[in-house]
Amino acid sequence: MGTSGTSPLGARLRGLLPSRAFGLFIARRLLAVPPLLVAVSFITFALLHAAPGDYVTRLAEDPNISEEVLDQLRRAYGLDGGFFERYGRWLLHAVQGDFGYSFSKEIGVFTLIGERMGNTLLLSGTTLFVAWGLALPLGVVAAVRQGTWVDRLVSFISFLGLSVPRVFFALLMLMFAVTTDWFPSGGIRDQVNWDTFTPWQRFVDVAHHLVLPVVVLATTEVAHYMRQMRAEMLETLGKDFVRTARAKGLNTHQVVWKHAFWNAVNPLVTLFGYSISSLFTGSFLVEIVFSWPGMARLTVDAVFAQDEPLVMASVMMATLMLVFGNLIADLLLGRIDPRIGVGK
Amino acid sequence: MLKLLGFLGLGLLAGLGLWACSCGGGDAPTGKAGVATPIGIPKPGFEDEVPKGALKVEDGEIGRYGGALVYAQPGDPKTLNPVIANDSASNDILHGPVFASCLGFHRVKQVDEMQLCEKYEKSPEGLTYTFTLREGLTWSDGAPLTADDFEFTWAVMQDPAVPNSAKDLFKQGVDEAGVPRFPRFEKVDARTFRFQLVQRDVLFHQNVGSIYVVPKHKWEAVWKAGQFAQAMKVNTPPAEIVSSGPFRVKEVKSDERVVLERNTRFWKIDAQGNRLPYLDRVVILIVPDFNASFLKFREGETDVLEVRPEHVDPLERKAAAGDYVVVDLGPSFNTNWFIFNLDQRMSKEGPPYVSPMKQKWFQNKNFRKAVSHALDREGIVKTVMAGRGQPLWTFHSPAVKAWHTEKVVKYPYDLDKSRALLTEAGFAFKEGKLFDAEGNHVEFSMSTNAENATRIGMLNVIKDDLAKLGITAHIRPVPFNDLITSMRSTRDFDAILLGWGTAVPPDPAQSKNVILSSGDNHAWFPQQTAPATEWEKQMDALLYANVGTDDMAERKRIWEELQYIFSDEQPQIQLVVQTFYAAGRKKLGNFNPSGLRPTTHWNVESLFKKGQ
Repeated sequence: MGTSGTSPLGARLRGLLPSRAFGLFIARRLLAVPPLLVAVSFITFALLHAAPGDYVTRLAEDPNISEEVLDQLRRAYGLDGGFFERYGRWLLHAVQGDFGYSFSKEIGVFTLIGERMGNTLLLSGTTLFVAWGLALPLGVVAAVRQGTWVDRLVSFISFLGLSVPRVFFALLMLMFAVTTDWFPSGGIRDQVNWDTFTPWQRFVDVAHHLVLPVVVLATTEVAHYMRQMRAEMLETLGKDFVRTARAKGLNTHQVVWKHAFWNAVNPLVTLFGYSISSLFTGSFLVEIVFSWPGMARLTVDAVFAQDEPLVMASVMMATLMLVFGNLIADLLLGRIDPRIGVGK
Repeated sequence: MLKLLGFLGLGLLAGLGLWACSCGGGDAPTGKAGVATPIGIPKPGFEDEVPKGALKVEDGEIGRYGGALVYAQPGDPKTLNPVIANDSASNDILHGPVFASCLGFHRVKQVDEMQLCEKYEKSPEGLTYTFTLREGLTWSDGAPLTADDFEFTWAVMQDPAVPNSAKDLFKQGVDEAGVPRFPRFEKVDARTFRFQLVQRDVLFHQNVGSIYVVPKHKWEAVWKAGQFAQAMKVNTPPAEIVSSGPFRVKEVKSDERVVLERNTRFWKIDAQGNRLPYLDRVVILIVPDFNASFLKFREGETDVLEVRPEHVDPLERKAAAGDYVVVDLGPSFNTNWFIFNLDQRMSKEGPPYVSPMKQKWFQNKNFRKAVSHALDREGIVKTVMAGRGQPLWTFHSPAVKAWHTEKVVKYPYDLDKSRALLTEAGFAFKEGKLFDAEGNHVEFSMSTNAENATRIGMLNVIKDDLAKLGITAHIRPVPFNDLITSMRSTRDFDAILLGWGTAVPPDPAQSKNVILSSGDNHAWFPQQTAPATEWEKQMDALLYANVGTDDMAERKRIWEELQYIFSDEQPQIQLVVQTFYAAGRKKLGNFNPSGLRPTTHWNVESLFKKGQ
């Protein structure tokens, strides 16, 4: 990596590339991924196997479906054979990149996941944006105005946000939507009139549908990050360099935003990295309550239907997101805080 | 500063990028469909001439063109292939609205009605059925719909690589080698085809009605390549799904919506000769569950709703002020029942499925009758169904007009009678507890599926009722899959509470699987090689006699006889049926719901939106 030649271009490239230690760190983290995936897949497969019945059993609810058709389906889906035989078959295909077809829809699992991922990322991405956009300034304001009514109000709200369970809050919001009629009762857009909308109307419509789920999701996050920001800021504001800055005659605005803020925000970068890893799964419950057509409904339906290939693929995706989210968090921290040497 | 910008910018970019990707996903508005079209334009873009043999729909009022029917459905369709579809979410969309069959069943009048076929003839001995298609039928792409398509569909159904449950309906016993026999299909000419049966089947024409024909010109090559089971999936381009029903598929978006648009070559006309369907589109919102369907209806987003019992009150309270009506459809077609495990076999591991002690109780007819008398069915209706239901005594729900009978043994709530029956059967009461002749306390477990709160509620009432007889009964909620496995193969249960839905048309011939002692769903003792009891032997014989004749009066008499034995022996203790409700907007014309699926829109081609 980056050892070729001494040409100006080579040197420039080498400058851009991470250091050798850095590369080793990433390589080590990546090497740990395959065993992790195998372990997670094994456990998931075992749990699915332990659940009573299989995908085909559910069809027996119809008294007119005979055992013969059920057996025929079982063979077609590869549900015959013991646990290790079936897991082996799955693993063998998976390492070749073939995660199979969803039983229930006969469509490749990643096609299905791809369709939904956009919707989930829209919801969790907007939440991330809103949550951080509110939490940082509010945290700073609360710290600067420590002890005033602003601080107390912000604290009160954050305690509320942390203590009300998300599902309960989501149901409350749904009730609010239904009784007031100000917001839609779930879904991602107006399914009936969508075709007649102009692009701008479509944007407004999706935004309208986003409001309540984002409020529910962001409330907890805002509360969490804001308290963190406030604590860090308070600590920083008491440090010597801040006093020095004040003594130099800088105004409060400059002291707070140019000096203190940058030092206080450091530890939160890690948190930001971790919130990336939860982009995929963090909104599960809220997606269900608000009928959001995202990964949650796909996965939950797959679990209930015992649609094995789909459950396996979606668990693998979530695991990967978690691993890479954590990696990004660690790397961000390494970049931002020179005191932490990555790879040492 | 750059650090923060980069850091916030990441979020910003993520946000904006996602906005764009989600909003651009929809399809472009089309000129014809949608709300922008003036409602009631005289002739929407129908194509070709009206087929010569077009079916005239006489019932209902003359509607007006335009508009969309919107309803919510829990669960995505799994496939768009009408042959392999085996779940109700797919069937409800495909069977009828998108794909037509030879003949059907009028959901309200409960009589046969011809569809693609204009008539069928049956030979006197009942072994040859000849079906004649209407003149001038075409698929939605303009290709003629002929007997070739039926021949093709029949061949596909017989293909072992195409799992489908419709094929089972055509099984006609087995040959010497134990291989199931099927009738022989014969194409006579472009509009005529014939089936040669091996044995008589009184419901044969209706079985043919369950063949949802698929276009040969479109799928023959795919089938020959061994790919038919993968044809017509939910992600197949909608234009490929050539249809024969009033609508064709326009869009399928998983967990969001399914949009159907008018089949401009549909072969039905109204009483004045106007071509159907009236509606431009059908929009089916995919929701997670029935509560969401209810919310969508209450918010005014949807036009029709199959009303769950718990939603009747909130809807009726507002109906007077609202723009909708709630229709009481009488008793539901779905039954609820309670069985004891009457299995007398030994399990594979050795010991009998049911311990000899319990077998002695359960096999005792008086014990079952006593239990039946002890169940307060009115109480179940009051507490579990909020008063919206009625006791059930017959095999079918009273909703089944053609086969309902009052000539059965009924078991009104009567504890004294129960006690008398038990004493007669050798049981004894000591300190309020019930003991058998050997001195064992009567104690057993009752299973039902844990997901169903109504059924758990019924078991709670039953538990209390049985306690009054001195019987200790334990409630055992298990996952649905477990319950089915218990019932069908492992047989490790004492008693089960469950329900049957109904086949269309409801007919004794459809209950073979339950009534016959060899049936898979003869749940108290399934798959018997020879009838275990005299009365099961009688019931077998009566059912065979019932389906062996076309004489309706005779069939009805035999069914009544069978019903009497069924109610007297109480192998399956019938409990209650719910009252069924449907709701629809007042602006929806020809709204005429039925207790049979698809409840609210079985006549979708005649539904229309009234003018403002």
